[in-house]
Amino acid sequence: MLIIGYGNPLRGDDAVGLLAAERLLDWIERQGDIPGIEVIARPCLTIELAANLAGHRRALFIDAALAGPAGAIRRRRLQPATERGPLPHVLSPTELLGWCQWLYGVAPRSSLITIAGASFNYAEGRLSPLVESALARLLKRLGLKQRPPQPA
Amino acid sequence: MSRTITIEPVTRIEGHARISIALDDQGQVAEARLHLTQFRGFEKFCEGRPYREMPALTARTCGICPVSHIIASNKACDHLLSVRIPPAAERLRRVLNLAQLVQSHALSFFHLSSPDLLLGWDSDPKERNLFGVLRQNPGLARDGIRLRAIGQSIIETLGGKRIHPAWVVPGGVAEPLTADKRDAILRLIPEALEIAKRTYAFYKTLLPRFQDEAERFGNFPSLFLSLVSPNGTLEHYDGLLRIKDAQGRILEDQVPPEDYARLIGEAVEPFSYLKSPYYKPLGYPQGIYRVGPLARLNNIQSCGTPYADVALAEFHLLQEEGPISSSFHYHYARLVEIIYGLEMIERLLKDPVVLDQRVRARARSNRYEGIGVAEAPRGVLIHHYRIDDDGLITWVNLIIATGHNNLAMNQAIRQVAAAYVEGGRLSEGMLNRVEAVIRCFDPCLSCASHAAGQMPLAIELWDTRGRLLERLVR
Repeated sequence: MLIIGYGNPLRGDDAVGLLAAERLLDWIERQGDIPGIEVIARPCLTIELAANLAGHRRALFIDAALAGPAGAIRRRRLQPATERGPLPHVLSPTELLGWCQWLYGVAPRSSLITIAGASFNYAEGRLSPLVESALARLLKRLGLKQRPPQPA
Repeated sequence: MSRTITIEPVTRIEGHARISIALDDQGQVAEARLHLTQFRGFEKFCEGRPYREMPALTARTCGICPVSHIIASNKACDHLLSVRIPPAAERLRRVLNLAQLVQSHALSFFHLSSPDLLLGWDSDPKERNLFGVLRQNPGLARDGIRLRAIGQSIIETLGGKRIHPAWVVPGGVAEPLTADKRDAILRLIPEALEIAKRTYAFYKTLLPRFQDEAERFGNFPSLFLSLVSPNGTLEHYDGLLRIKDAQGRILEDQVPPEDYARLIGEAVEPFSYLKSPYYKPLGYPQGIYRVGPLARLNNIQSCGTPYADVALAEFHLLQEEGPISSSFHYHYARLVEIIYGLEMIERLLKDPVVLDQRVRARARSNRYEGIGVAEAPRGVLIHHYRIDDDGLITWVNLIIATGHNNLAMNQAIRQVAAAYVEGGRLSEGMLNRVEAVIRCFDPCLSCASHAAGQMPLAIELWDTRGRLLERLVR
């Protein structure tokens, strides 16, 4: 399974997906490699990730959401985009899955988890309290029994 | 009646620009210009900041080549410290710089230019993109994505992250390389080299199709500026400045990068925020020169690695004699440099010195002026700082690779427009070729942002009274 967390680390709660992936990576590093699990933290989704996706049967994207009450966690299934167009610098998860399908003939069964943000103002890696607590809930749900230490 | 054609924005380049082409009463091209329409202001707002912040600040100039700015900026800081960095740090910085070169050249060739090369300039713009490449040659599209990913992966392994890594520091690098990381990088090289060689061989089969473009795409005499090693081989990190003329005569050689201001003047034109550097002894604008892969390969006789040297010998055969004059062959030069970059990364990492634990020279500032010069993928990159007694920046001058090529890009646009505008009539093919000649230089105009999806392309025709005569929108 591939887990991709993404977001802008300079824009407050927008970083929640990126931080989720970074904390998962910290946790995995302490546990030792977990076979079959790959975690990637990125500021945004780019075409190169299609190759990573093609090597997995399942994928989970984690991102911040603008809509919804702050801290609300939502999960939805994703289908690869079928419309093709020029390649932008930044892709959405469905576009990325579409490129994966076009390039490699397969795309993993995928879901997107979002955490609704409260503030997207300038703040480096600092989440608002409701989103921080939602992130801890999400990590626990993903299997982290103990809360990992905060990144420095 | 004279007219002006405006192409805005130019697509599939890094950053935002506009092209205007003025036609005279006979419908012939009178003038053509590239307008850089963004103002960044890095040289001014860095004033007052501590010099140690400069690598992090100037890396934000660009989202595509932050590594190049990090390298040049830290070299300027090394100069301020008056230190010689440890051998391991120097080699590791070289690896990082070459990984940047590989991923950037891969982006330019596969993502930005291969749609033109594979599908042709007269093909449907809706198809002339990476998806079109995927339909025509899926292996090439996958190779491009993989090669770029490998370059980025090397940067991430060394620097901790692939964009804006903070691992390079004044005096060296922040942490030594572990054997595990070295081995992880080395495992990537055979696959990357295989892709690079395969692509190079494929490109050579395409070349005969492009005789017309090679003849008309920025094919003119100019000087060539680059770093070379002390023994005259290919150099991207350190070395000395060399300038060759269009006949292949060496005008300047073994010039310490700190003396760049003796060679290079900077003119400012009212129509663009991009400066126009020129070779001072010839004056402005006669001192036009080119930098980047084409200039680097024109300025050397040897790369210094086996397969790249074979490719370099073939590159020099593109023309009967003298430096290769067509800007179209920037594409060829990029492929040679990708091969070189990968071969050299492997060689550097197999040197046991790279695992040395001493990777940083520590000092306070020991001079008031620091200059750092390196070869970015697009050409010579110069960072020049002055500081006060407190180590605060009082003055900055940045000359980026795309700036060096400004005069040459304008001349190239003029040449292509003159070749493909017939009787003042516009065609999609002409516009595509004008854009494509700019892509030969792979200009990086800011990289800060790009609109998602297809960018609109508008061409406007104006008469001498400023009346809009015709507007075409793509």
